[in-house]
Amino acid sequence: MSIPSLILLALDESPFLQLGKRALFSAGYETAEAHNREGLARILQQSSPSLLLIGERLDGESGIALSVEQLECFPTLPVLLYAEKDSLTIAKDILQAGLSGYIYPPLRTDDIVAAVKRSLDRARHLGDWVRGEVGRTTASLQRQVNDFDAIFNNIEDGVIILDKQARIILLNQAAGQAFGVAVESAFGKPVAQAILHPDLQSLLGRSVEESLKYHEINFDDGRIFNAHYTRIPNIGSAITLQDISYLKELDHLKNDFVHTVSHDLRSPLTSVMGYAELISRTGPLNEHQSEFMARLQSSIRDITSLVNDLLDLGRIEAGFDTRREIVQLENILGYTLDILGGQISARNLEIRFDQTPNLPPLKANPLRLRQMLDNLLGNAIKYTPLIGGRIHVRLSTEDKQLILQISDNGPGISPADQAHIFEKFFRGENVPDGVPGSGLGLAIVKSIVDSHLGRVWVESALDQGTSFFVVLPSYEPPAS
Amino acid sequence: VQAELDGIMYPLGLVKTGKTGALTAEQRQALASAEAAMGRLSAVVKAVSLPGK
Repeated sequence: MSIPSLILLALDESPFLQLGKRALFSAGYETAEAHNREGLARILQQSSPSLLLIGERLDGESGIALSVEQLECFPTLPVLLYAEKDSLTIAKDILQAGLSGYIYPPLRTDDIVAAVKRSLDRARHLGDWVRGEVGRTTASLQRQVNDFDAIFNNIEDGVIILDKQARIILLNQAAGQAFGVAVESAFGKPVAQAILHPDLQSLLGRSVEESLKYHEINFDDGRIFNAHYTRIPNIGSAITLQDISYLKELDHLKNDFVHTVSHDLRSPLTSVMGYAELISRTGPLNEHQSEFMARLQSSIRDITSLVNDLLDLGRIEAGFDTRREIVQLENILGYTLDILGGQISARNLEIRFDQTPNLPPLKANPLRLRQMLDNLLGNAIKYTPLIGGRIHVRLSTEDKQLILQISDNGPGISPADQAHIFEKFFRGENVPDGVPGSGLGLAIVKSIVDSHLGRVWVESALDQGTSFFVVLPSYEPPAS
Repeated sequence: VQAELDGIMYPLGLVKTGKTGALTAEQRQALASAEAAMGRLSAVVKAVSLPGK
Protein backbone atom coordinates (compact mmCIF):
# COMPACT_ATOMS: atom_id res chain seq x y z
CA MET A 1 0.00 0.00 0.00
CA SER A 2 1.49 3.31 -1.05
CA ILE A 3 1.95 6.16 1.39
CA PRO A 4 -0.67 8.88 0.76
CA SER A 5 0.68 12.12 -0.68
CA LEU A 6 0.81 15.07 1.71
CA ILE A 7 -0.81 18.24 0.39
CA LEU A 8 0.12 21.48 2.14
CA LEU A 9 -2.76 23.92 2.19
CA ALA A 10 -1.34 27.43 2.67
CA LEU A 11 -4.66 29.26 2.89
CA ASP A 12 -6.28 31.79 5.16
CA GLU A 13 -9.26 30.52 7.14
CA SER A 14 -12.10 30.37 4.59
CA PRO A 15 -14.87 28.12 3.28
CA PHE A 16 -12.50 27.05 0.48
CA LEU A 17 -10.00 25.75 3.05
CA GLN A 18 -12.66 23.54 4.58
CA LEU A 19 -13.89 22.42 1.15
CA GLY A 20 -10.35 21.59 0.03
CA LYS A 21 -9.56 19.63 3.19
CA ARG A 22 -12.70 17.55 2.81
CA ALA A 23 -12.23 16.95 -0.89
CA LEU A 24 -8.61 15.89 -0.57
CA PHE A 25 -9.25 13.72 2.48
CA SER A 26 -12.04 11.94 0.59
CA ALA A 27 -9.65 11.33 -2.31
CA GLY A 28 -7.10 9.67 0.00
CA TYR A 29 -4.62 12.56 0.44
CA GLU A 30 -3.19 13.73 3.73
CA THR A 31 -3.23 17.44 4.35
CA ALA A 32 -1.31 19.94 6.45
CA GLU A 33 -2.15 23.60 7.02
CA ALA A 34 -0.10 26.76 7.10
CA HIS A 35 -1.64 30.17 7.72
CA ASN A 36 1.39 32.42 7.39
CA ARG A 37 4.92 32.68 5.94
CA GLU A 38 6.62 31.04 8.99
CA GLY A 39 4.23 28.12 9.10
CA LEU A 40 4.61 27.58 5.38
CA ALA A 41 8.42 27.52 5.59
CA ARG A 42 8.42 25.24 8.65
CA ILE A 43 6.12 22.58 7.18
CA LEU A 44 7.93 22.60 3.83
CA GLN A 45 11.22 22.09 5.68
CA GLN A 46 9.97 19.40 8.10
CA SER A 47 7.38 17.41 6.15
CA SER A 48 8.41 17.62 2.48
CA PRO A 49 4.84 17.80 1.11
CA SER A 50 4.11 16.49 -2.40
CA LEU A 51 2.21 19.64 -3.42
CA LEU A 52 1.57 23.14 -2.17
CA LEU A 53 -1.89 24.61 -2.64
CA ILE A 54 -1.54 28.29 -1.79
CA GLY A 55 -4.03 31.11 -1.70
CA GLU A 56 -3.72 34.25 -3.83
CA ARG A 57 -3.19 36.04 -0.50
CA LEU A 58 -1.79 34.42 2.66
CA ASP A 59 -1.78 36.36 5.91
CA GLY A 60 -1.78 39.60 3.87
CA GLU A 61 1.12 38.56 1.59
CA SER A 62 1.09 37.66 -2.09
CA GLY A 63 0.74 33.90 -2.60
CA ILE A 64 2.74 34.10 -5.84
CA ALA A 65 5.64 35.98 -4.18
CA LEU A 66 5.72 33.47 -1.30
CA SER A 67 5.69 30.59 -3.79
CA VAL A 68 8.60 32.08 -5.74
CA GLU A 69 10.58 32.36 -2.48
CA GLN A 70 9.91 28.73 -1.58
CA LEU A 71 10.66 27.47 -5.09
CA GLU A 72 14.18 28.84 -4.61
CA CYS A 73 14.63 26.16 -1.91
CA PHE A 74 12.32 23.48 -3.34
CA PRO A 75 12.54 23.87 -7.12
CA THR A 76 10.72 20.61 -7.93
CA LEU A 77 7.74 21.29 -5.64
CA PRO A 78 4.48 21.54 -7.63
CA VAL A 79 2.55 24.67 -6.57
CA LEU A 80 -1.12 25.23 -7.28
CA LEU A 81 -2.57 28.67 -6.71
CA TYR A 82 -6.13 29.28 -5.50
CA ALA A 83 -7.30 32.56 -7.04
CA GLU A 84 -10.44 34.46 -6.12
CA LYS A 85 -11.28 34.76 -9.80
CA ASP A 86 -9.86 33.98 -13.20
CA SER A 87 -7.96 36.75 -15.00
CA LEU A 88 -5.34 37.15 -17.70
CA THR A 89 -3.04 38.87 -15.19
CA ILE A 90 -3.15 35.89 -12.82
CA ALA A 91 -2.45 33.45 -15.66
CA LYS A 92 0.55 35.55 -16.79
CA ASP A 93 1.95 35.94 -13.26
CA ILE A 94 1.65 32.19 -12.64
CA LEU A 95 3.48 31.39 -15.87
CA GLN A 96 6.24 33.87 -15.02
CA ALA A 97 6.60 32.52 -11.47
CA GLY A 98 6.86 28.91 -12.71
CA LEU A 99 3.85 27.61 -10.76
CA SER A 100 2.08 24.39 -11.85
CA GLY A 101 -1.33 26.00 -12.38
CA TYR A 102 -4.23 27.73 -10.69
CA ILE A 103 -7.83 27.05 -9.72
CA TYR A 104 -10.64 29.52 -9.13
CA PRO A 105 -14.33 29.46 -8.16
CA PRO A 106 -16.83 28.10 -8.75
CA LEU A 107 -15.18 24.86 -7.57
CA ARG A 108 -16.61 21.48 -6.78
CA THR A 109 -14.69 18.90 -4.76
CA ASP A 110 -13.99 16.93 -7.96
CA ASP A 111 -12.43 20.02 -9.55
CA ILE A 112 -10.02 20.44 -6.64
CA VAL A 113 -9.02 16.78 -6.59
CA ALA A 114 -8.59 16.66 -10.38
CA ALA A 115 -6.39 19.79 -10.36
CA VAL A 116 -4.22 18.38 -7.55
CA LYS A 117 -3.93 15.01 -9.30
CA ARG A 118 -2.95 16.66 -12.60
CA SER A 119 -0.22 18.71 -10.90
CA LEU A 120 1.12 15.70 -9.01
CA ASP A 121 1.17 13.58 -12.17
CA ARG A 122 3.00 16.30 -14.06
CA ALA A 123 5.51 16.69 -11.22
CA ARG A 124 6.03 12.93 -11.13
CA HIS A 125 6.70 12.81 -14.85
CA LEU A 126 9.06 15.73 -14.56
CA GLY A 127 10.80 14.02 -11.63
CA ASP A 128 11.16 10.80 -13.62
CA TRP A 129 12.60 12.72 -16.57
CA VAL A 130 15.05 14.67 -14.36
CA ARG A 131 16.16 11.46 -12.64
CA GLY A 132 16.71 9.82 -16.04
CA GLU A 133 18.71 12.79 -17.30
CA VAL A 134 20.78 12.93 -14.12
CA GLY A 135 21.46 9.21 -14.49
CA ARG A 136 22.55 9.61 -18.10
CA THR A 137 24.71 12.68 -17.32
CA THR A 138 26.27 10.95 -14.33
CA ALA A 139 27.09 7.89 -16.44
CA SER A 140 28.58 10.13 -19.14
CA LEU A 141 30.63 12.02 -16.55
CA GLN A 142 31.77 8.74 -15.04
CA ARG A 143 32.91 7.55 -18.48
CA GLN A 144 34.84 10.80 -18.94
CA VAL A 145 36.39 10.43 -15.49
CA ASN A 146 37.39 6.85 -16.36
CA ASP A 147 38.86 8.02 -19.68
CA PHE A 148 40.73 10.82 -17.94
CA ASP A 149 42.05 8.37 -15.32
CA ALA A 150 43.17 5.97 -18.06
CA ILE A 151 44.95 8.74 -19.99
CA PHE A 152 46.37 10.40 -16.89
CA ASN A 153 47.79 7.17 -15.52
CA ASN A 154 49.07 5.76 -18.80
CA ILE A 155 50.85 8.73 -20.38
CA GLU A 156 54.60 8.41 -20.18
CA ASP A 157 55.11 11.97 -18.96
CA GLY A 158 54.78 12.50 -15.24
CA VAL A 159 52.11 14.95 -14.06
CA ILE A 160 51.67 16.44 -10.60
CA ILE A 161 48.85 18.87 -9.88
CA LEU A 162 49.09 21.00 -6.74
CA ASP A 163 46.58 23.22 -5.00
CA LYS A 164 47.35 26.80 -3.96
CA GLN A 165 48.99 25.54 -0.76
CA ALA A 166 51.23 23.21 -2.82
CA ARG A 167 49.39 20.08 -1.66
CA ILE A 168 49.12 17.21 -4.13
CA ILE A 169 45.70 17.04 -5.80
CA LEU A 170 46.69 14.64 -8.58
CA LEU A 171 49.75 12.53 -9.18
CA ASN A 172 49.93 10.07 -12.04
CA GLN A 173 51.68 6.71 -12.16
CA ALA A 174 54.61 8.00 -14.21
CA ALA A 175 55.34 10.77 -11.70
CA GLY A 176 54.91 8.34 -8.79
CA GLN A 177 57.30 5.82 -10.37
CA ALA A 178 59.85 8.52 -11.25
CA PHE A 179 60.09 9.66 -7.63
CA GLY A 180 59.40 6.26 -6.03
CA VAL A 181 56.25 7.54 -4.35
CA ALA A 182 53.04 5.51 -3.78
CA VAL A 183 50.39 7.44 -5.69
CA GLU A 184 47.49 6.78 -3.26
CA SER A 185 49.40 7.84 -0.18
CA ALA A 186 50.59 11.11 -1.71
CA PHE A 187 47.18 12.74 -2.21
CA GLY A 188 46.53 15.72 0.03
CA LYS A 189 50.09 15.90 1.32
CA PRO A 190 52.29 18.98 0.82
CA VAL A 191 54.51 18.16 -2.15
CA ALA A 192 57.59 19.22 -0.19
CA GLN A 193 56.86 16.42 2.29
CA ALA A 194 55.63 13.77 -0.13
CA ILE A 195 58.47 14.13 -2.67
CA LEU A 196 61.83 14.84 -1.14
CA HIS A 197 63.89 15.09 -4.34
CA PRO A 198 66.19 18.16 -4.03
CA ASP A 199 65.90 19.15 -7.73
CA LEU A 200 62.10 19.22 -7.47
CA GLN A 201 62.30 21.23 -4.25
CA SER A 202 64.62 23.64 -6.02
CA LEU A 203 62.19 24.02 -8.95
CA LEU A 204 59.29 24.72 -6.58
CA GLY A 205 61.31 27.18 -4.52
CA ARG A 206 62.71 29.08 -7.46
CA SER A 207 59.51 29.04 -9.54
CA VAL A 208 57.85 31.09 -6.81
CA GLU A 209 60.77 33.52 -6.41
CA GLU A 210 62.03 33.87 -9.98
CA SER A 211 59.23 32.66 -12.24
CA LEU A 212 61.47 29.70 -13.17
CA LYS A 213 59.59 27.35 -15.44
CA TYR A 214 62.02 24.62 -16.48
CA HIS A 215 64.38 22.62 -14.36
CA GLU A 216 66.28 19.38 -14.79
CA ILE A 217 65.62 16.60 -12.32
CA ASN A 218 68.57 14.24 -12.05
CA PHE A 219 68.12 10.76 -10.58
CA ASP A 220 70.81 8.58 -9.05
CA ASP A 221 70.28 5.88 -11.68
CA GLY A 222 71.30 8.30 -14.45
CA ARG A 223 67.84 9.27 -15.66
CA ILE A 224 67.28 12.96 -16.34
CA PHE A 225 63.83 14.53 -16.49
CA ASN A 226 62.87 17.97 -17.69
CA ALA A 227 60.34 19.41 -15.25
CA HIS A 228 58.02 22.18 -16.44
CA TYR A 229 56.19 24.30 -13.88
CA THR A 230 52.90 25.98 -14.88
CA ARG A 231 50.57 28.08 -12.75
CA ILE A 232 46.90 27.17 -13.10
CA PRO A 233 44.49 30.00 -12.19
CA ASN A 234 42.01 29.16 -9.40
CA ILE A 235 43.59 25.74 -8.82
CA GLY A 236 47.30 26.06 -8.06
CA SER A 237 50.00 24.70 -10.30
CA ALA A 238 51.06 21.77 -12.46
CA ILE A 239 54.43 20.10 -12.85
CA THR A 240 54.97 17.98 -15.95
CA LEU A 241 57.98 15.71 -16.21
CA GLN A 242 59.51 14.42 -19.40
CA ASP A 243 62.30 11.84 -19.55
CA ILE A 244 65.09 13.51 -21.55
CA SER A 245 67.80 10.94 -20.71
CA TYR A 246 68.16 9.95 -24.37
CA LEU A 247 68.45 13.60 -25.45
CA LYS A 248 71.17 14.12 -22.88
CA GLU A 249 72.94 11.03 -24.19
CA LEU A 250 72.70 12.47 -27.72
CA ASP A 251 74.12 15.73 -26.41
CA HIS A 252 77.09 13.88 -24.96
CA LEU A 253 77.60 12.03 -28.23
CA LYS A 254 77.45 15.27 -30.20
CA ASN A 255 79.84 16.91 -27.77
CA ASP A 256 82.28 14.01 -28.04
CA PHE A 257 81.98 14.10 -31.82
CA VAL A 258 82.72 17.83 -32.02
CA HIS A 259 85.70 17.44 -29.68
CA THR A 260 87.07 14.47 -31.62
CA VAL A 261 86.62 16.14 -34.97
CA SER A 262 88.08 19.34 -33.60
CA HIS A 263 91.20 17.50 -32.44
CA ASP A 264 91.50 15.31 -35.56
CA LEU A 265 91.27 18.31 -37.86
CA ARG A 266 93.47 20.71 -35.96
CA SER A 267 96.23 18.30 -35.05
CA PRO A 268 97.41 17.55 -38.65
CA LEU A 269 97.06 21.23 -39.57
CA THR A 270 99.42 22.18 -36.75
CA SER A 271 101.82 19.44 -37.91
CA VAL A 272 101.82 20.61 -41.54
CA MET A 273 102.45 24.20 -40.48
CA GLY A 274 105.30 23.06 -38.20
CA TYR A 275 106.95 20.96 -40.91
CA ALA A 276 106.56 23.77 -43.47
CA GLU A 277 108.46 26.11 -41.12
CA LEU A 278 111.04 23.38 -40.43
CA ILE A 279 111.84 23.01 -44.14
CA SER A 280 112.97 26.63 -44.43
CA ARG A 281 114.99 26.36 -41.21
CA THR A 282 116.80 23.11 -42.04
CA GLY A 283 118.32 24.19 -45.35
CA PRO A 284 118.38 26.81 -48.06
CA LEU A 285 115.43 27.18 -50.45
CA ASN A 286 115.59 28.66 -53.91
CA GLU A 287 113.09 31.21 -55.18
CA HIS A 288 110.67 28.59 -56.57
CA GLN A 289 110.81 26.45 -53.46
CA SER A 290 110.26 29.49 -51.22
CA GLU A 291 107.28 30.58 -53.31
CA PHE A 292 105.70 27.11 -53.16
CA MET A 293 106.29 26.81 -49.42
CA ALA A 294 104.79 30.28 -48.85
CA ARG A 295 101.73 29.20 -50.86
CA LEU A 296 101.50 26.03 -48.76
CA GLN A 297 101.61 28.01 -45.49
CA SER A 298 99.03 30.49 -46.73
CA SER A 299 96.68 27.66 -47.70
CA ILE A 300 97.15 25.95 -44.34
CA ARG A 301 96.32 29.22 -42.59
CA ASP A 302 93.15 29.50 -44.72
CA ILE A 303 92.18 25.89 -43.94
CA THR A 304 92.82 26.46 -40.21
CA SER A 305 90.59 29.53 -40.29
CA LEU A 306 87.89 27.64 -42.19
CA VAL A 307 88.03 24.67 -39.80
CA ASN A 308 87.84 27.00 -36.80
CA ASP A 309 84.81 28.75 -38.32
CA LEU A 310 83.12 25.41 -39.08
CA LEU A 311 83.76 24.10 -35.58
CA ASP A 312 82.47 27.34 -34.03
CA LEU A 313 79.36 27.14 -36.16
CA GLY A 314 78.90 23.48 -35.22
CA ARG A 315 79.22 24.26 -31.51
CA ILE A 316 76.78 27.16 -31.62
CA GLU A 317 74.22 25.30 -33.75
CA ALA A 318 74.51 22.18 -31.57
CA GLY A 319 73.62 24.32 -28.54
CA PHE A 320 76.96 23.88 -26.77
CA ASP A 321 77.40 27.61 -26.44
CA THR A 322 75.75 27.93 -23.04
CA ARG A 323 78.08 30.35 -21.28
CA ARG A 324 76.19 33.48 -20.23
CA GLU A 325 77.43 36.52 -18.31
CA ILE A 326 76.08 39.99 -17.64
CA VAL A 327 77.99 42.16 -20.11
CA GLN A 328 77.90 45.66 -21.60
CA LEU A 329 78.05 45.44 -25.38
CA GLU A 330 79.60 48.93 -25.66
CA ASN A 331 82.64 47.69 -23.71
CA ILE A 332 83.13 44.69 -26.01
CA LEU A 333 82.59 46.93 -29.03
CA GLY A 334 85.18 49.44 -27.77
CA TYR A 335 87.70 46.64 -27.25
CA THR A 336 87.01 45.20 -30.72
CA LEU A 337 87.45 48.58 -32.36
CA ASP A 338 90.78 48.99 -30.54
CA ILE A 339 91.98 45.61 -31.81
CA LEU A 340 90.86 46.41 -35.37
CA GLY A 341 92.38 49.90 -35.15
CA GLY A 342 95.49 48.80 -37.09
CA GLN A 343 93.45 47.53 -40.04
CA ILE A 344 91.24 50.64 -40.01
CA SER A 345 94.29 52.92 -40.07
CA ALA A 346 96.04 50.81 -42.72
CA ARG A 347 93.04 51.24 -45.02
CA ASN A 348 92.72 54.91 -44.10
CA LEU A 349 89.04 54.44 -43.16
CA GLU A 350 86.98 57.06 -41.36
CA ILE A 351 85.13 55.46 -38.44
CA ARG A 352 82.38 56.99 -36.32
CA PHE A 353 80.95 55.44 -33.15
CA ASP A 354 77.76 56.76 -31.54
CA GLN A 355 75.99 55.37 -28.52
CA THR A 356 73.04 56.51 -26.48
CA PRO A 357 73.75 56.92 -22.73
CA ASN A 358 72.81 54.33 -20.09
CA LEU A 359 72.72 51.29 -22.35
CA PRO A 360 71.27 48.24 -20.58
CA PRO A 361 73.39 45.12 -20.01
CA LEU A 362 73.03 41.83 -21.90
CA LYS A 363 73.12 38.28 -20.59
CA ALA A 364 75.42 36.82 -23.20
CA ASN A 365 78.62 35.01 -24.03
CA PRO A 366 81.20 37.81 -24.31
CA LEU A 367 83.51 35.73 -26.53
CA ARG A 368 80.73 35.05 -29.02
CA LEU A 369 79.68 38.72 -29.03
CA ARG A 370 83.30 39.61 -29.73
CA GLN A 371 83.31 37.09 -32.60
CA MET A 372 80.06 38.58 -33.95
CA LEU A 373 81.52 42.11 -33.85
CA ASP A 374 84.80 40.89 -35.39
CA ASN A 375 82.93 39.36 -38.32
CA LEU A 376 80.59 42.32 -38.91
CA LEU A 377 83.30 44.98 -38.53
CA GLY A 378 85.80 42.79 -40.42
CA ASN A 379 83.38 42.68 -43.36
CA ALA A 380 82.82 46.44 -43.20
CA ILE A 381 86.59 47.01 -43.22
CA LYS A 382 87.16 44.49 -46.04
CA TYR A 383 84.47 45.81 -48.35
CA THR A 384 84.82 49.56 -47.77
CA PRO A 385 86.79 51.40 -50.51
CA LEU A 386 90.35 52.44 -49.77
CA ILE A 387 89.62 56.02 -50.80
CA GLY A 388 86.84 57.75 -48.88
CA GLY A 389 85.85 54.62 -46.95
CA ARG A 390 83.52 55.31 -44.03
CA ILE A 391 82.13 53.05 -41.31
CA HIS A 392 79.46 54.16 -38.87
CA VAL A 393 78.77 52.11 -35.72
CA ARG A 394 75.72 52.97 -33.65
CA LEU A 395 74.46 51.48 -30.37
CA SER A 396 71.04 52.37 -29.00
CA THR A 397 68.27 50.91 -26.87
CA GLU A 398 64.52 50.61 -27.34
CA ASP A 399 61.82 48.50 -25.69
CA LYS A 400 64.19 46.43 -23.54
CA GLN A 401 66.35 45.69 -26.56
CA LEU A 402 69.84 46.73 -27.58
CA ILE A 403 70.22 47.76 -31.22
CA LEU A 404 73.56 47.61 -33.00
CA GLN A 405 73.92 49.13 -36.44
CA ILE A 406 77.11 48.83 -38.50
CA SER A 407 76.99 50.77 -41.78
CA ASP A 408 79.59 51.16 -44.51
CA ASN A 409 79.79 52.91 -47.87
CA GLY A 410 81.08 49.81 -49.66
CA PRO A 411 79.79 48.31 -52.92
CA GLY A 412 76.49 47.18 -51.35
CA ILE A 413 74.70 43.85 -51.74
CA SER A 414 72.19 43.12 -54.48
CA PRO A 415 68.62 42.30 -53.38
CA ALA A 416 69.05 38.73 -54.74
CA ASP A 417 72.20 38.21 -52.66
CA GLN A 418 70.63 39.73 -49.53
CA ALA A 419 68.22 36.78 -49.36
CA HIS A 420 71.15 34.36 -49.00
CA ILE A 421 73.71 36.49 -47.20
CA PHE A 422 73.43 34.56 -43.90
CA GLU A 423 73.69 31.10 -45.50
CA LYS A 424 76.81 29.01 -45.00
CA PHE A 425 79.49 29.38 -47.70
CA PHE A 426 77.51 32.05 -49.54
CA ARG A 427 79.55 34.86 -51.11
CA GLY A 428 78.00 37.77 -52.93
CA GLU A 429 78.37 38.06 -56.71
CA ASN A 430 79.92 41.51 -56.54
CA VAL A 431 82.62 40.65 -53.97
CA PRO A 432 85.78 42.32 -55.34
CA ASP A 433 88.58 39.98 -56.48
CA GLY A 434 91.20 39.22 -53.89
CA VAL A 435 88.96 39.82 -50.86
CA PRO A 436 89.49 36.68 -48.76
CA GLY A 437 86.64 34.85 -47.02
CA SER A 438 85.08 31.43 -46.59
CA GLY A 439 81.46 32.54 -46.66
CA LEU A 440 80.99 31.48 -43.04
CA GLY A 441 81.38 34.82 -41.23
CA LEU A 442 77.78 35.97 -41.51
CA ALA A 443 76.44 32.44 -40.92
CA ILE A 444 78.35 32.51 -37.62
CA VAL A 445 76.95 35.98 -36.85
CA LYS A 446 73.40 34.71 -37.40
CA SER A 447 73.99 31.60 -35.27
CA ILE A 448 75.38 33.72 -32.44
CA VAL A 449 72.49 36.19 -32.62
CA ASP A 450 69.95 33.34 -32.78
CA SER A 451 71.51 31.61 -29.79
CA HIS A 452 71.08 34.88 -27.86
CA LEU A 453 67.40 35.11 -28.90
CA GLY A 454 68.09 38.15 -31.05
CA ARG A 455 67.55 39.15 -34.68
CA VAL A 456 69.93 40.19 -37.41
CA TRP A 457 69.17 41.63 -40.82
CA VAL A 458 70.77 43.58 -43.61
CA GLU A 459 69.70 46.71 -45.48
CA SER A 460 71.68 47.51 -48.59
CA ALA A 461 71.61 48.91 -52.11
CA LEU A 462 74.22 48.41 -54.81
CA ASP A 463 76.86 51.17 -54.81
CA GLN A 464 75.25 52.81 -51.80
CA GLY A 465 76.68 50.81 -48.94
CA THR A 466 75.37 48.29 -46.46
CA SER A 467 73.93 48.38 -42.93
CA PHE A 468 73.77 45.35 -40.66
CA PHE A 469 71.35 45.52 -37.75
CA VAL A 470 71.52 43.31 -34.67
CA VAL A 471 68.80 43.44 -32.01
CA LEU A 472 69.47 41.64 -28.74
CA PRO A 473 67.17 41.38 -25.69
CA SER A 474 68.57 43.35 -22.78
CA TYR A 475 69.06 41.70 -19.40
CA GLU A 476 66.33 42.35 -16.87
CA PRO A 477 67.45 41.58 -13.31
CA PRO A 478 64.82 39.52 -11.42
CA ALA A 479 62.47 41.62 -9.33
CA SER A 480 63.50 41.52 -5.68
CA VAL B 1 88.70 22.12 -46.91
CA GLN B 2 89.20 19.20 -49.31
CA ALA B 3 89.44 21.59 -52.27
CA GLU B 4 92.09 23.61 -50.46
CA LEU B 5 93.99 20.42 -49.62
CA ASP B 6 93.88 19.20 -53.20
CA GLY B 7 95.18 22.61 -54.27
CA ILE B 8 98.31 22.42 -52.14
CA MET B 9 99.17 18.77 -52.80
CA TYR B 10 100.47 19.60 -56.29
CA PRO B 11 103.06 22.28 -55.31
CA LEU B 12 104.05 20.12 -52.35
CA GLY B 13 104.68 17.19 -54.73
CA LEU B 14 106.76 19.41 -57.02
CA VAL B 15 108.98 20.53 -54.16
CA LYS B 16 109.25 17.01 -52.71
CA THR B 17 110.28 15.35 -55.99
CA GLY B 18 113.05 17.89 -56.42
CA LYS B 19 111.60 19.42 -59.59
CA THR B 20 111.93 22.90 -58.10
CA GLY B 21 115.47 22.28 -56.84
CA ALA B 22 117.54 20.03 -54.58
CA LEU B 23 116.60 19.45 -50.93
CA THR B 24 118.53 18.24 -47.94
CA ALA B 25 117.65 14.89 -46.36
CA GLU B 26 116.07 16.73 -43.41
CA GLN B 27 113.98 18.89 -45.73
CA ARG B 28 112.79 15.81 -47.61
CA GLN B 29 111.94 14.15 -44.31
CA ALA B 30 109.99 17.23 -43.15
CA LEU B 31 108.12 17.36 -46.46
CA ALA B 32 107.22 13.66 -46.20
CA SER B 33 105.89 14.25 -42.69
CA ALA B 34 103.89 17.29 -43.88
CA GLU B 35 102.44 15.20 -46.72
CA ALA B 36 101.51 12.40 -44.29
CA ALA B 37 99.80 14.91 -41.99
CA MET B 38 97.86 16.27 -44.94
CA GLY B 39 96.85 12.72 -45.84
CA ARG B 40 95.49 12.26 -42.29
CA LEU B 41 93.65 15.56 -42.52
CA SER B 42 92.16 14.59 -45.88
CA ALA B 43 90.94 11.28 -44.43
CA VAL B 44 89.30 13.08 -41.47
CA VAL B 45 87.64 15.60 -43.79
CA LYS B 46 86.21 12.78 -45.93
CA ALA B 47 85.04 10.86 -42.86
CA VAL B 48 83.35 13.93 -41.37
CA SER B 49 81.69 15.12 -44.57
CA LEU B 50 80.40 11.74 -45.79
CA PRO B 51 77.50 11.38 -43.28
CA GLY B 52 76.08 14.69 -44.40
CA LYS B 53 76.03 13.81 -48.08
